Amino acid sequence: MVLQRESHKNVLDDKDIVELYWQRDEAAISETDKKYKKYLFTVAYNIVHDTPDCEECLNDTYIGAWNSIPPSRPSVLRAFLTTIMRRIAINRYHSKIKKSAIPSEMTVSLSELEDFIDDGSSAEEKLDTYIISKIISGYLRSLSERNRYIFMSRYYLANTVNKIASDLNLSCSTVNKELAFIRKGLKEKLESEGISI
Amino acid sequence: MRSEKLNEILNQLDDDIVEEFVKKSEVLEKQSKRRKLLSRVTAFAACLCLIISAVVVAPLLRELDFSNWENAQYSAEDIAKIFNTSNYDSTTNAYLKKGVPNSKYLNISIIPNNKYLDTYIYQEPKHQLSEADFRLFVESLLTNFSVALNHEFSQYFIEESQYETNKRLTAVYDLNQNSYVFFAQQYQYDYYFTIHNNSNNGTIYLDGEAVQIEQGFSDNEIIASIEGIKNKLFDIFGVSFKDFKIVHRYLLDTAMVDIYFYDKDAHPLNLTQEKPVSDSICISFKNALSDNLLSQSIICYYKNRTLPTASYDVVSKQRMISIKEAEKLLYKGYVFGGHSCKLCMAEQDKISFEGYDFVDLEYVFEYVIDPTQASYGIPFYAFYKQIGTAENGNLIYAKTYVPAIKVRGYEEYFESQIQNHTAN
Repeated sequence: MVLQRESHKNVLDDKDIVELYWQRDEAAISETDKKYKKYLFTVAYNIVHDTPDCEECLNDTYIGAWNSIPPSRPSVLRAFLTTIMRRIAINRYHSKIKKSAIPSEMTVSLSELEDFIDDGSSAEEKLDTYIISKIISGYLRSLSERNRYIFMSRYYLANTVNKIASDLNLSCSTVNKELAFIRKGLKEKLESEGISI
Repeated sequence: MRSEKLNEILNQLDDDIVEEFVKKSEVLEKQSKRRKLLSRVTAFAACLCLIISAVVVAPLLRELDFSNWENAQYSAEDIAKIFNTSNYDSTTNAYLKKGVPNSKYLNISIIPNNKYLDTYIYQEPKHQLSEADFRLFVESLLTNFSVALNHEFSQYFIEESQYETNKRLTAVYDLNQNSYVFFAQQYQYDYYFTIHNNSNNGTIYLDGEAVQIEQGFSDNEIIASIEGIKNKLFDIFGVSFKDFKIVHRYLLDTAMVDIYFYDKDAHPLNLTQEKPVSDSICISFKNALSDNLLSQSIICYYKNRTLPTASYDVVSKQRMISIKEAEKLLYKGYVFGGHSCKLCMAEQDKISFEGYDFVDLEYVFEYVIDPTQASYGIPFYAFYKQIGTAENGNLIYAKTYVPAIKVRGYEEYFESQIQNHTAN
């Protein structure tokens, strides 16, 4: 108990860790690892579902952070690392899924949204992606804080319905109902914006 | 491809949305951990409760099967004797009626959180009757009262008589006289003296001051209003008591208020008994309920010939049963009190004490005169249930007693009572 308290006491604030990155001090990576390893590992595992892959994603995330800070100076380090980890894990997920179907929560969660998005391959694809992400951001802002959390948890981090229900102290059926409501709203929003489905 | 595009879209969500989500997830993660810890602690506490229940409560519940009450010192039949009921009177569902203006007049006390309760034996130490001592007692009081009442007491006579199994000397001053009348007696164990007025509507005047109280006064207001009377009585009786107790009793059309002056710590039973068992002075008022001023009174003086601690001996310490246990007996109809006449009992409406209003702890010393001429004091839970309202607005309560200690032979006794009652 004393040891746990001591180790908790030694964890640096996000501000200090960012400062280490700015000073190009390699301790920044060990401090990040100490503080966020478990969390980032969970984010990666939800997507790639493979422990060695998660380890690699984790290392890539630390390198990504090292390369991004500076010039970035993230206000919320945890969110910054999540974004990096997600991109890396998703790239790994896609490279693996091409080889064989992997049992990932990401596969399941994305399949729920796939019907909404046209698999466009036109030259305007990139612009579409940007516009749709803005429309979805706008739509998410119109949701309640709880439903925004449910959406992000399910589709951004690919958390299971069970995990979301546990986080929010809700039943799984409530979470499922809310997800259905959010998807319906998103579909209507995209249709109203003239996004092809 | 579609999922890649989707991921790319999600990757480009606005930063503030991602940041808000990540912060929220951090907070929820901590809360979730706390909840899990709490649920573990709760589960542990629940297990602990189950264990405690199994160890402590279960034996208590088993006791209500009366299987381990068979070694109890008193039987249900002994208890019935305290209420002067014989085998030919049914006591099942018996209760007394009590009418009061409001519930505070029931004088409900706090149930002590005791593990054991004393049971008492009241064995009066027998002193030889002494006419000389008795005459001295009467003479000194009459001298003092003569001055205070401005009344000349004439001849009185002393006679010896038998009262139950005891001898007594009584001194009565001309009962037919239309003025102050006194009555005094010397038992083998105590002195008793009363005085009242056959004139002036029963109002006693001490040094010209009427002995009276306002019915609407609070107890403290009553005591403050008769401070002068109290001091005069202390002078007359040559005593001084530091405590007082006011007992309000109401019949359907009569208000009775007894004011006792006594020393609370002179005996433990003073705490539970309505009437003090140690030396005391009592002013007992009795008027019509409609009278605002209670002025019809009797002044009494009770003086032990030996210390009360010598009269009331602790016989045993018995485990106090819980109110829950007593409730089970109550709801089974294993209760005492009420009428001793079987005819009255037959005519008394049966009532349910489910959802009773009050419960009190009370010792009852009554009528048990066994071959050793002793009476027993047993602690009871007294349950009150309001059963109606009188015409004058008084609340009518049913009151019934359940022994606060283990008693053996409930089932046999009450079964036999039902049979006896039916047979008679």
